[in-house]
Amino acid sequence: MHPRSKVFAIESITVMLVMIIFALVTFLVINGGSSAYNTIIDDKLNTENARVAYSYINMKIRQNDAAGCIDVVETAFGDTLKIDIEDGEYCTYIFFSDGALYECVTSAGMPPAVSAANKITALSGFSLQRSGNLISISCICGKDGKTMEGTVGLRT
Amino acid sequence: MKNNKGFTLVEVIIAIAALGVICAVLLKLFVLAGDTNKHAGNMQEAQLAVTSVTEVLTSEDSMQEALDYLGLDAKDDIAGSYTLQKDSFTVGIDIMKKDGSYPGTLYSLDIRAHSGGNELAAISTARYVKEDAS
Repeated sequence: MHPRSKVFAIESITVMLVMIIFALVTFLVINGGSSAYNTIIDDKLNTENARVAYSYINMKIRQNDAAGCIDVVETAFGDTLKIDIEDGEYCTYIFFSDGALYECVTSAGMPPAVSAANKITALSGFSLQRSGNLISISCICGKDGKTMEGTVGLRT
Repeated sequence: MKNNKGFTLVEVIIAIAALGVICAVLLKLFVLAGDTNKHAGNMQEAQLAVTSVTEVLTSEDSMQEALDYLGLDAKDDIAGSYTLQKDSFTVGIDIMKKDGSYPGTLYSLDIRAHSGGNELAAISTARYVKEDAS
């Protein structure tokens, strides 16, 4: 092989190797960026859903905080927030079922049902606990089970 | 005659080095975006924790019961500093008795969440307890 051709071949191979490394790095950067973006968006969406659920329940409690009107009861859907409205003529139930938080308005004495309920927001899990005049709300969001916990005090 | 076609190895390496610098800046931005998101999540969690502690301290019948609910050992006269350790931050509670001629007790409450020297959320309020059940 002619020495000039040999140098040219080595140079070409080096350029090709450098280009391959560049392509790999570019791929990794794009892949990493896309992954970071998706993680951030998912995390924000999950936190937002949990925040919406917590704020909605907080607002409902504040709106209807009359003596004996708010309670945490056990229904077929687990922990359920029960709010009596119109002197107990109607009931509003807020409960968790199949990855979402629902609100169902029924006549007094009727149990809540998903078919008659409105979806509030998507959640991974939900629990309520009453201790005296304090109601603890736990909204689980995301696949990693991150929990948003808060306590609301009843004024009546 | 000199061959002017194509780039030399040095030119390619310089171009790739420049692109490498841009990639490094982009990667740094991704990390920064992740950190900012985490910080925003922490702040939201801290605000919720501070609000919840305030709700407990102002809703329970007595300050003693409120501190028991929070899992804190109440000091003899309730007033003092308390600390609640959460996963990613600490909630500090300062309770002070306000001077005055009241039939009950007026407490000033200062609740602050902080992490690594940075304050994430704070609420200052007061609570009047008619008959101090403590």
